[in-house]
Amino acid sequence: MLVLLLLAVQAVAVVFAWLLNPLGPKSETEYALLLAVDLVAFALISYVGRLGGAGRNLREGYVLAGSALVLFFMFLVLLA
Amino acid sequence: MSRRNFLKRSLGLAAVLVFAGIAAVTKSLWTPSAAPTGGFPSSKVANIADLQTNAYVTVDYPLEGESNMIVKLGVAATGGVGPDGDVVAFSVVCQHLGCTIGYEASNSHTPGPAGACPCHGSVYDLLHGAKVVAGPAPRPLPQVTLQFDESTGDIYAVGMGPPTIFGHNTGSTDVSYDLQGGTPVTQ
Amino acid sequence: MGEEEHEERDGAAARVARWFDARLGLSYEFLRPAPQYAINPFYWLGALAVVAFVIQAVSGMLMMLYYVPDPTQAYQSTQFIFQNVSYGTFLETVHLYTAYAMILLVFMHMMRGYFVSVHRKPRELMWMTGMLMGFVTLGLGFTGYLLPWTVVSKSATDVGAGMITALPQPLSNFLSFLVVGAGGESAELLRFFDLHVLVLPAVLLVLLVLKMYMLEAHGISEPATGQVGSEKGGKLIPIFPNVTFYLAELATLFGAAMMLFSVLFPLVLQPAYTATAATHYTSQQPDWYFLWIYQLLKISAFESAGLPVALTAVTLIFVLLLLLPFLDRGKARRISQRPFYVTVGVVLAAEIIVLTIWGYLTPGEVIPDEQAALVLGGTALAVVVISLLSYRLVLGRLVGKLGTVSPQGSAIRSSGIWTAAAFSLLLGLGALAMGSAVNTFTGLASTGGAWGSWAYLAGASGVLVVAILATAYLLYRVDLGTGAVRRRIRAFEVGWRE
Repeated sequence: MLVLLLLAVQAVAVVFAWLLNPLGPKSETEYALLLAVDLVAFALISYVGRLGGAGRNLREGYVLAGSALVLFFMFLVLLA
Repeated sequence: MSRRNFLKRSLGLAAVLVFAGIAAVTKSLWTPSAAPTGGFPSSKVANIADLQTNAYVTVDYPLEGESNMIVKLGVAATGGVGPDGDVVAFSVVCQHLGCTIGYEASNSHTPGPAGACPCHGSVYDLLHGAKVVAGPAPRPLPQVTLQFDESTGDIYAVGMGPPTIFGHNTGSTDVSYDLQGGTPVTQ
Repeated sequence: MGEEEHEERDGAAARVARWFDARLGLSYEFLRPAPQYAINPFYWLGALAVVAFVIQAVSGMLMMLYYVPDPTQAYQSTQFIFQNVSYGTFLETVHLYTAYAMILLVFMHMMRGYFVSVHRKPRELMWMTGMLMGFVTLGLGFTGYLLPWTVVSKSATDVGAGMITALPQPLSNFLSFLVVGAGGESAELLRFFDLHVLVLPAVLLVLLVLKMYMLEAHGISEPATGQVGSEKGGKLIPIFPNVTFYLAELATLFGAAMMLFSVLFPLVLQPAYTATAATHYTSQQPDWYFLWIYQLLKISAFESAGLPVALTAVTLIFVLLLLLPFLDRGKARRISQRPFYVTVGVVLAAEIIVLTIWGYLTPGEVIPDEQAALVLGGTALAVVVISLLSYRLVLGRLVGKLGTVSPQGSAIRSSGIWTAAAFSLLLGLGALAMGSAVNTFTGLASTGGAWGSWAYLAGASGVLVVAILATAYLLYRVDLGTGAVRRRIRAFEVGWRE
């Protein structure tokens, strides 16, 4: 489900962040974006974990917005 | 596994991944900085008239506080300048662990004058670009590139040869690292 | 035993976690659980400011390895960080933007606290500690700004340091020595660096510990509206894991926002400071968070001899804010029941915003007194009028009933809505008129004025006067509409007694 997907995204982002050559010309931008992906994915997982498990309703809007942010940042990484 | 457990473990993993991602910024700590651009200063270090054979003089180059010895060897040497091609200059910082080298007019390991380190016994052959002939040092001493002005007899230091001076990204052959970490000499 | 059963069922990860817990005391509840209403971003502005501080500390520590606080090497070492150090530009950019974010968060945190009246008993000292932390934060911004030693930053700091010398005497000498040292740029830079990197962060941490301790002792303040829905704040949520993860969500989203900003707007290092370059740089001004003060000082009435007056006034504002819990001694906490202080707060915020924007529009220019009076006075007037009207419309319902909650909230009667609409339209016209008047004044000042300009000015002032008169009339009518002059006076008294 969503959480697994997000975890995978996070793991990929972290691996890429470590593989970056810090002296490369675009590396700083890429690092910032990868870290952003990492952070937002975590926020989303945390939100689901905090509220979803207790049987409460998740705000669909937040989940959508969070996923959209993650995808947007990943897209920017590819652009950069 | 139950959904509750799954969420808990995922959250834990996600938290770990966040810290792992942030930790990547510490690459700033251990990746050597890019070599600075910009040239070596040109500095007058001695005049040929003041140099006597086997009497070395210490001089700072290329940064303040970075000692080198300039010496007239009496015999033509690799990289030597002057009318006899025997004035050379080298960093006095041993390439092994950073002790200060001493000068020996003769040494059992070398055909001519040598730089000898008192700490662990490294010996550098000053006639042949200070290459290592004994002891644990892994690299030759960095040699100062000298220029001799025939009209005035002045000797100028204008650059450094590889390897880098001990402590400047030690072991690199990119001599622009020698310019980092201090104020360049003026004059 | 229970423990052994656990161990049979749990995997290695849980065992490790339990090992640490038994020794570190992680699950010991030393932070009291949070009430449900506290799961709301407004309650976490202060915590986010602390998160920003942590980001500052980490990025600052990484940069400190390369930066040299000596005038001959400061710019060079900063440039080195930008160009040669791995992730250097990223560190610098994040450091600057998070500094701005921290100042903004601190301001928003203060404003929220102000409007929700957190400074009531027993939290007066928390408010004052918070104000002190705010001053330290501004100090961190001030000291950090100088460190790159660019033309812009050195000039801005010279402005600030010059202001210190304009303070009254024993204070001025003391502060000057503390901040600038015995003289000479080396001493100044070194002091700024030490203050920025060690002294101010240490003070901030001490104050933070104090504030957190008090927070634990008193608990999170209840919402002023009393709509909590139950006594004691309703359902309590344990700090670990729920509240911790809520904070983690906020913190990571904040971090991601900082990442986005640093990607979108990467910093470029300004030119280096040299004495000659500085003489050509005429529009020196402090960084945006001090710009409102600077704009005040640029008013011509405060030039040269008048400078101490202006500085005293600004200091007074800060001191009054600091001592707020002892000035505002009423019992009421709801916005609707504190007309005076709410109005003062909104006026203050509006003036600061207006002054900051205005500062950007007029770099390096002296402000004529009439313009200042118009703009500042006009802003204050607009805010006061809006505020009074809102209170008239709302207070009619709550007169004499401090502390009760109207179940439907404050529904505005339809006639009230039309009044509000008409009023807003007039105010809009009035604001336009004010703006035109200011523009015209500026134009006149520079060009010497033509007949057409004067006519325009007269027309703009006329509209403004009409707007004010119409507002007063509407207020009068609204009062008659609520039916009792006596009620109006009592409502006003309620406001003043608070």
